[in-house]
Amino acid sequence: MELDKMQELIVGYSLDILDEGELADAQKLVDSDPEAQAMLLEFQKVMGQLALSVTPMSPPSGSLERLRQKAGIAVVPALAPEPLPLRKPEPLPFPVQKARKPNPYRNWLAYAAALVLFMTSAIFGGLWLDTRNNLDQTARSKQDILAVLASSDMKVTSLKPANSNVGGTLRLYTDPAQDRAYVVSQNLTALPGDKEYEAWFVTNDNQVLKAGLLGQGGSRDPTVQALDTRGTVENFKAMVITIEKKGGVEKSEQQPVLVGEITS
Amino acid sequence: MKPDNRDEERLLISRVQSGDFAALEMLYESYNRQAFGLALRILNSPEAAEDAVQDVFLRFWKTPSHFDPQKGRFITWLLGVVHNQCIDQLRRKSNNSVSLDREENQEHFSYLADDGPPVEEEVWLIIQRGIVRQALDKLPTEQRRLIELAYFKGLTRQEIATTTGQPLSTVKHRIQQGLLKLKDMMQAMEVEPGV
Repeated sequence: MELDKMQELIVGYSLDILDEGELADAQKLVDSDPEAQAMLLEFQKVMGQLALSVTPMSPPSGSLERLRQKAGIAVVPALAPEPLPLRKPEPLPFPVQKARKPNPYRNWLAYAAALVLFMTSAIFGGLWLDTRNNLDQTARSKQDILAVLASSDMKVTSLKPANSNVGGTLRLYTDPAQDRAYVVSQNLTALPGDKEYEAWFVTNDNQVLKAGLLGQGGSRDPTVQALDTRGTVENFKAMVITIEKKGGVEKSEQQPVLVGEITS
Repeated sequence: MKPDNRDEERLLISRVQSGDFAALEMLYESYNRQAFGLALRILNSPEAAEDAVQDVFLRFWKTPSHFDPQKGRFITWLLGVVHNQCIDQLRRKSNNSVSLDREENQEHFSYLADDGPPVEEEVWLIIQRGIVRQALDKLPTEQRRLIELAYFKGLTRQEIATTTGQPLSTVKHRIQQGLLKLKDMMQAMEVEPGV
């Protein structure tokens, strides 16, 4: 069978849009031809991706209870509500890099002092406020990331290694509508302790702008980090990553290790 | 649970296989929004969509061996089964009129969309979704429209030809070309293999 005809049948088969006669032909083909089987597998992956393109939505409230009832699982009656204790912010599933702060508790004296302070009622109010601020900050980070990732104008740029010594995945997500940009990095080659990855935007008129420090790599978990866009995201045409001394530099003189063109 | 943590996912699935309903609940809480979104897009009814998703989960609860972890991710399998279930249901009601405006009816349910869903279980799916949407956006409008009619409305090629007034040969060609482009673009954009 000609490749084009086979492809037409397999596409129709994977989308389940064939009429009965064609369906029988396609089934015969899939049962007997390894090339058709491989082709079907590829198109089935595309079908799986199409399902992911749909925006997730929450089912009507009480959905889990209804699932339990349908399964015949007894529902435990809810206990009387108790006052909620002060909760720590829930950790994100990936390390979001934060500004480094000096650790005030470097030795046991500091811990002891902190304990005394902790037991002072006046401090309770401060701790509560601090926790609330952290919670708010975490929530804001989540919302910021989601706003960019879910934006219809979002552009995804995969950065490619420009240097065989550096590997890993780094994707740039830019949202021109909000002038925001995030990078998701994973498995970047670990750097020595005195080095750090630094991101740079290249503008349409070839200026190079600092975008932020990306740490030292080596993390197997995806790391999401906000970038400093310093202006209009629409004016950026590329992103490059260099390896700099820890803490970064104002102007890089290093060769890029990862590069990506932001296509329109 | 992070959806990309496949070890944890396998553990939950093996717990379901050993009759632990709490593990099924965890899978449900992780993936029901994505599955419900898909079902709602196809069925246009929150109640029918929830029933379809729950039927799939309950079938998995009764026969967990239907999912083979060796063949890919749970979410991919789940969405495939939910899609089939919804399309079958839609075709059983084939006397209903078909709307060509894919967003038309969704607007009625916009109140269900989450304004601030938790990132914990969502970021991986959001990234994948962004990539797929970008690929879809790059397709010629007509190719994309015909693929969506086939995938989300469950129309056969002949039905699409009748509904859109295009010759059957044009419909076949456009769908084939569109899916080929989609496959190539997704590969170029590095959508995770095995999804």
